[in-house]
Amino acid sequence: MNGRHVTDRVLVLLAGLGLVAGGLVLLDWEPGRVLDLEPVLRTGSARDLLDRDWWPWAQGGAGAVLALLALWWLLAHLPRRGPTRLGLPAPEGSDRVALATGPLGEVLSERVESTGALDHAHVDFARHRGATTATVRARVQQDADLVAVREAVAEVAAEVGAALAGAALAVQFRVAAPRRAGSPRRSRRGTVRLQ
Amino acid sequence: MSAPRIPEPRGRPAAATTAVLLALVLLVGGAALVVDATGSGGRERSASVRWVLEQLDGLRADEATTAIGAGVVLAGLVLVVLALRPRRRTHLPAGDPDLWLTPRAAGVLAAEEAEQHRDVLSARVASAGRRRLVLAVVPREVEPPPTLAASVRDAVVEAVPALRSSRVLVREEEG
Repeated sequence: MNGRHVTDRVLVLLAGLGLVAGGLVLLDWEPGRVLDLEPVLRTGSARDLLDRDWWPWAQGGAGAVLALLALWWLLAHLPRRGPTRLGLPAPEGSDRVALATGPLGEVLSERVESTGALDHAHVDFARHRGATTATVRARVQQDADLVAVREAVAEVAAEVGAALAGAALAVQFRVAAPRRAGSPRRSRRGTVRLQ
Repeated sequence: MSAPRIPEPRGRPAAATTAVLLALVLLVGGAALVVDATGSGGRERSASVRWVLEQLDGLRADEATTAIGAGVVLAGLVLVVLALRPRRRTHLPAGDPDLWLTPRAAGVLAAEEAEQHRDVLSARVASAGRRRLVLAVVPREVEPPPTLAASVRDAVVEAVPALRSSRVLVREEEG
């Protein structure tokens, strides 16, 4: 679970607990079993605060902080770009070597589609525990069986392992059903091979 | 350096959508407080806050406040459940190398396997979920063997191990 999801859960939990607490106070107000509150609400002293010179500043400041926090929270939900480069072990005497993940993803997608068992392939790169990960999403070709799908995936995984040895790239394959009849096909079957 | 295994695919947590809605509410509320504090539009400063406090003044505890309290507790409990609810599993494991199938993909592959059965003319996915797959098969014969559904189910689960944790139902239908 990433940090954003933890923040979401904690904040939603706090909001929920706050509502439960407020609701319980309202529930207990009339019977007064626990809190023994005044039966009539008086807001006079709170209204007196509004007449102080500093009140508008305090209200505006609190509002601005709330709005900025909410904005930060919203922006944190925007989709993040994955890593743009994948580091490779550099040969002795040379500088660092890195592969751009964009073209690598395209080559990987084409290779997956060229197996004949999968199509509509798309690769997303991300970071997980300090390493780069590649999630390959693809659809089963019409009439392909599980043996063909597993062979295709094993073949591609082996080629990635051999071609990017030492890059510590974890690859996961997520396969969905073929598009329903009538959906446009975008197959790029060819003879791409990762070497 | 070995790469860490990528976590199992899961859907967005229910709290994520709720969090966006809460953030929007906070954003609108915060902006309203700022606008009210500046007294824009020729209004007195903090006029809205004052109006709210005036409306609340003299409010008595009665059945209505109790009912509102019950509603607020209920809404809070819903948020607590949403916050604690685990993320939905979206795929079925299909073995190494780190291959995962959506329930529908597993169903389509199972239908493909079902069509290889000697007594089946055609097969399709009637419904597919993580826990339950329903395959509709058209038997080759007008009077199919009574064990057709069981033998198709066994063959399908054998061929698609991802379905071992699911309940596979085979329904016969006319061609």
